[in-house]
Amino acid sequence: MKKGTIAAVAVSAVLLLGAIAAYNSVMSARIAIDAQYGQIENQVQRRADLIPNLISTVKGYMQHEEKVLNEVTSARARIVGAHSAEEIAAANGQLTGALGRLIAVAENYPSLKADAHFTELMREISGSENRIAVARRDYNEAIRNYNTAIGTFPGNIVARVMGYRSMAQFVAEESARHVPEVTF
Amino acid sequence: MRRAGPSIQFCLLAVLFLACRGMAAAVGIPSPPAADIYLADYVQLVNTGDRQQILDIGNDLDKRFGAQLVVVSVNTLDGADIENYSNTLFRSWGIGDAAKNNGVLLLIAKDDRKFRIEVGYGLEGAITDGYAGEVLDAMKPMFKAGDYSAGILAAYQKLANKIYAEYGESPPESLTMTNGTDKEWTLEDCLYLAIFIALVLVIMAIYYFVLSPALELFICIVCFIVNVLFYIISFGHFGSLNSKDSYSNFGRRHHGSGSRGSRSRGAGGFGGGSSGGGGSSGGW
Repeated sequence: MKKGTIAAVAVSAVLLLGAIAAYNSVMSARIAIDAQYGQIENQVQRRADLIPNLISTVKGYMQHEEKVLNEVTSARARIVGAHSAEEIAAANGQLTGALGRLIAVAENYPSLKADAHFTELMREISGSENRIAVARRDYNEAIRNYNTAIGTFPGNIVARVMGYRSMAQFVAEESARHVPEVTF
Repeated sequence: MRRAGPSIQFCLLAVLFLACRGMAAAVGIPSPPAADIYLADYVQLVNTGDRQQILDIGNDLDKRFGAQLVVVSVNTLDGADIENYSNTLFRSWGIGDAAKNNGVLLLIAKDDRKFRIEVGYGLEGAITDGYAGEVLDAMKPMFKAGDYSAGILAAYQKLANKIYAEYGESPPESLTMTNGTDKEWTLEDCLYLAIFIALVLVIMAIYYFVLSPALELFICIVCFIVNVLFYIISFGHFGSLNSKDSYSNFGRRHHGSGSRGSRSRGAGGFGGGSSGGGGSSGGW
C-alpha cells in the first residue's frame, strides 16, 4: 500500500476514535443529569409521603388550626398530582412554605412538641429537606458538567451536530425560603 | 533567559501549592487523617482509653463490612452550614465503601456547639434520621456537662450497634459495648397500659358485685365494645414500636440511585463512599 493511504487511514482512525469519545462523554453527561433529576423527584416524593403521618399526629393537638393543616394537605396533594418538572418544583416550594407555617403555629403547643412521634417526624422531614437540597446541588453539578462538556472542544462539535443546547441551572424559588409571620 | 528559568519553576510550584491548599480550604474542611481514620479528633475531645475503644470498634466494622464509622471534631465551621460542611467532608474523604455507601460521620464543632450525624445511602435504613436525632439528644446532656469523651463513646457504640444489626451480626465479645437497645417503651406507654388494665378490673368488679342478670348481659356487651376501643386507641400509643420499623423501611425504599464520587477510592484509607444528606443535626 502507498504510504499516503496508510497515513490517511491512520489519521481517520484517530479522528473516528476521538469523535466516539466526544460523543460518549456528551451523552453520559446528559444521562447523568437525568439520573440526578430522578434523585430529586425521589426525595421530594419521600417528603410528601411523610406528610399524612404528620397531619394525623398533629391533628389531635391542633384541632382549631384547620386552615394551616389544610394548606399542608393540599400542597402535598399537588405534589402527588404533579407531572412536569416545573409543577413538581412549584408544588414542593408550596409545601415548604405550608410546613413552615405549621411549625410556626406548633410553637404554641408545648404538648405537641413533647410528643415523641412529632419529634421523630420533624426529624425525618428536615432530613428529607436536607436530602432535597443535596440532590439539587448534585443536579446542578451534573448540569455544570454537561455544559462544560458541550462548551469545550470536541464536545461542542457533537453538540452542534446533535442540536444540544446548554441547560439552565436549577434555582430554588425564593418564596420557598421565606417563612411568613403568623398573625392572629 | 537562563537565570529566569529556575524562578519561573519556583513560581509555578508556589501557585500549584497554593491552589491545592485553596481547594481544601474553600469550605475549611480538614484533610483526612493518615492513620486511625475512625477518630479524627482535631480538638482533642476524647481521652486515651475511650479513643482506643472507638478505634477498635471502628476497625472491626471496617474489616467485616467495609462500613466506616468516623468521628471528626473541629473547632469551628467558619460560618458554613453544618449540613453543607458535613456533606462536603463526607464526600471529599469518601467515607464508607464505594459500592455499599455504608459510611457514617459524627461531626462535632466545639466552639460552634453544633454536631451532626451524617449517614451514607447504604445505612439510611439502619440509622434513620429519627434515630440519629435520638443519639444526638442523648449526647446533649453529656456535652453540656463538658463530658465530651463519654458522650462521643456512647454515641459511637450506639451507632456501631445499629450497623452490626443491619448486617445481621453481633459485635464480638472482646469489644465492650453498652447495651445498645434503647428503651422503646416510654413511661407514657406504661401509663396507658396501667390505665387500660385498671379499667378492665373496675368493669369486672361492677359486673360481679352489683347487677341483675339482664343488666349483666347488657354490661357485658358494652364492656366488650369499650375494650375493643381501648385496644385500638392504645395501639396508637404503643405505635412507637411499629413506627420505628416503618421508618427503617422508608430508608430502604427510598434508597434509589445515589450519586457516586468521581473516584472509586476515597482519600487514604477511606472507601470512597458517598452520602445523600441523610442524618440529623443538633447542638448543645
